[in-house]
Amino acid sequence: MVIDGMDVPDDGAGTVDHVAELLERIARGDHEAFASLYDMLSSRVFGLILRVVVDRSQSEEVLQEVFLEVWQSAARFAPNKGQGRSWVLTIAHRRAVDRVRASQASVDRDIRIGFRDIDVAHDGVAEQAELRIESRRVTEALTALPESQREALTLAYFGGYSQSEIAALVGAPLGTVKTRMRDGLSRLRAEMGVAS
Amino acid sequence: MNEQEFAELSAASALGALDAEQQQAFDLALTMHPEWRGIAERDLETATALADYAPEVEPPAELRHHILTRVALAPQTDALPLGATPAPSTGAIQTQSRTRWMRSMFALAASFVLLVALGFTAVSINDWVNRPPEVVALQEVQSAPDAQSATAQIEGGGESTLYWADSVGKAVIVSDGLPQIADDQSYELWFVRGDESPIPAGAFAASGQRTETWILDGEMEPGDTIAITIEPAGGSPTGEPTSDAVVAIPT
Repeated sequence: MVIDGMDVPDDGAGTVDHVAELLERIARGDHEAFASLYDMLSSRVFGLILRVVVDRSQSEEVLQEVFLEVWQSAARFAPNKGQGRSWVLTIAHRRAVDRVRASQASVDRDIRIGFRDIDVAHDGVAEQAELRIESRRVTEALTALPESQREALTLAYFGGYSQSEIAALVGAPLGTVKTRMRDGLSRLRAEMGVAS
Repeated sequence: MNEQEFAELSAASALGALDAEQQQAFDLALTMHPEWRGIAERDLETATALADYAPEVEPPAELRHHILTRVALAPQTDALPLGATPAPSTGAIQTQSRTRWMRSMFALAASFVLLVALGFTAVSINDWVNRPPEVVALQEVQSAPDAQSATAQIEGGGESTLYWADSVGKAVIVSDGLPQIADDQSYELWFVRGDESPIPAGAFAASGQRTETWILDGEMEPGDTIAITIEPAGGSPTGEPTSDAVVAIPT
């Protein structure tokens, strides 16, 4: 099986965190390692940013910010606290959400993503599920969630909406939205078998 | 705050759904209760798995060059120009996250990286001390308050960026992706100035590296276009370009 261009054993045994290794080299100022990391993850990162930010040229700016931040703060990556890939994606997501919050008037955000996105995305993801085990896993897990939880997770993660915005959007009390997020995330974890 | 309330904050934080005030409350709770750190890390790991729900999209090819150049030539202070389009918020992060100590470490790291970018695979302190003149010149130019830069596309792919500062009186050109040349050929730089014949600014053999860095030989004047041609080894024997420029950078 191939993930991010690296050959990975199907059973996960002996899996090496290649991104973590690269991050450690980057922390020491290794330029080649940085280029390898970029080649390995830029499509993954850009796809995520684009989904959240939507606007292409802004997404390109965010992509640059993300990789610069990776470069500057690679020394803060702690291999014992999780996978290198997740660390990079976490930075990308935070940057993308920051950009959306800073730049987007709330008017066009309602139709931008969110509910509509949930259905649209399914088709696209189904096509590549053959190739990408991660996307298949998360798509299946999301599908298994109750609709209200799935809605809360995707509006937050891909829509960049805050809890209170989501409460207003879906017409539910804030407390209910908080509970849906917490339960949704727990359920997602269980469905995906993410190690805790 | 009890653990139940923290779990709700933690989930929302991992999903990026907290506003600034709530985020502060979350950070504070995490500081006060290190025993809840596991909850936060687990939530973040799960939420991040959602990233793979979005299809991958290949970014435009030229962004790779921009990003690698920005990183390789990372400035030593926040105020310096970078050649590539600066993202406005980068300065803000740097201000937030970099202490003076971090800054000097970063500057040091940047120097090392520059060497790597220039083709030094094994970087040692010795290499750093014996930095090639073009690296020293580039750093000198970039540290000047009046540092400027301009970038142009190379024929057939790649980019050349010119860095100069009038106060330093030097100009350095960094090229990534120049066409390959034969052993009996050189790259030659030219000042192209108004109607005059182009003025030679140095001929250079290929270093064998993807990135070539050269100091321009001669005095640059405002408005000059800097061009690179491929000439016989040692430069054009006639003193004029014998081929079309592979890149021309207007200033």
